[in-house]
Amino acid sequence: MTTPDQKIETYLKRVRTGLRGLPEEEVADILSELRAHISERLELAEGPRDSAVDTVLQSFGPAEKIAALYVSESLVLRAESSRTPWTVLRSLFYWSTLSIVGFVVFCICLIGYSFGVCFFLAALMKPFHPQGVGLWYQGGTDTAHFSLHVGGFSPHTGQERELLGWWLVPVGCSLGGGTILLTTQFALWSLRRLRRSKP
Amino acid sequence: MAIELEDKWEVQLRKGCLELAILASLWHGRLYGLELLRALEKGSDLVITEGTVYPLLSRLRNEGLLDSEWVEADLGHPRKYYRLTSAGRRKALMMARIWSRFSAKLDSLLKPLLKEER
Repeated sequence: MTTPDQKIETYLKRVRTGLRGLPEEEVADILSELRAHISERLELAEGPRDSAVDTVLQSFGPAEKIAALYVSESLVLRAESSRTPWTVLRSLFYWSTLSIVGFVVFCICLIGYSFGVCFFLAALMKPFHPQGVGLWYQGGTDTAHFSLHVGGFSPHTGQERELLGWWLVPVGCSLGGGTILLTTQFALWSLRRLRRSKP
Repeated sequence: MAIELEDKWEVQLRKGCLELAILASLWHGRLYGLELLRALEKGSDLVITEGTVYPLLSRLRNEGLLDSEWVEADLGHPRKYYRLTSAGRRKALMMARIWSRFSAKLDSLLKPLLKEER
């Protein structure tokens, strides 16, 4: 049979599991605060300790839900302070598991960052593979298309006209930086809105 | 359907006021979690679950509106007290002004409705 104290410990253990990923110091602080609250409520409660523990834990709600509230908050805060694509995406990934809007925002940002990285890669690879990396235009009577080759995956045939030449390096860097910056701004704006939709 | 809408609207309304209610409760000095919950229950019609108040306090602290410190109690357990920072005081005052202006105008708009209901 589970004792009242074991029930409390199991509950706090579930909260701790949900808080995985947060700094240990922060986790310890959160658990101490919850433990202090539970203890004080139990001291004030009347009746058998067992039912008092049940009442207190019920009034807290599911352990996973509390942990999720803390984690989402912490991830948004970390994304805002670091502003690196990795922390932003990590935070958005978490939100994508909570709502459809979060999932859509995560997908948009993933695509945005991928484009940014591709632009940067094109700029970086140009000096090493000048013939394989570039923006080419092929015009014809029926069809006309642009193609951006990166890393010599599909070398151009020689019939196309290269549009940017060495300008690809500064243009790629600017576009890459700009896309990553805009994606980050959009992600942070979305995170703030998602956070506001929580209690 | 009408009841559901009423419920949702009320929930949203209460949720929107919660931050102001917490900041206002801390206006006169520091409080710890349980004290704050009691202050909210007593001073407003807001019922907040215990599992919600702590993450919310954590958010307000992260936003720089609250400060917290652990205080050893003479008897019993250490308590984590929250107090308003100067940014928190400024925000509480600003929100209170907006709320007061808004609710006064809305009250005058609602007066005829409530009169008719009587």
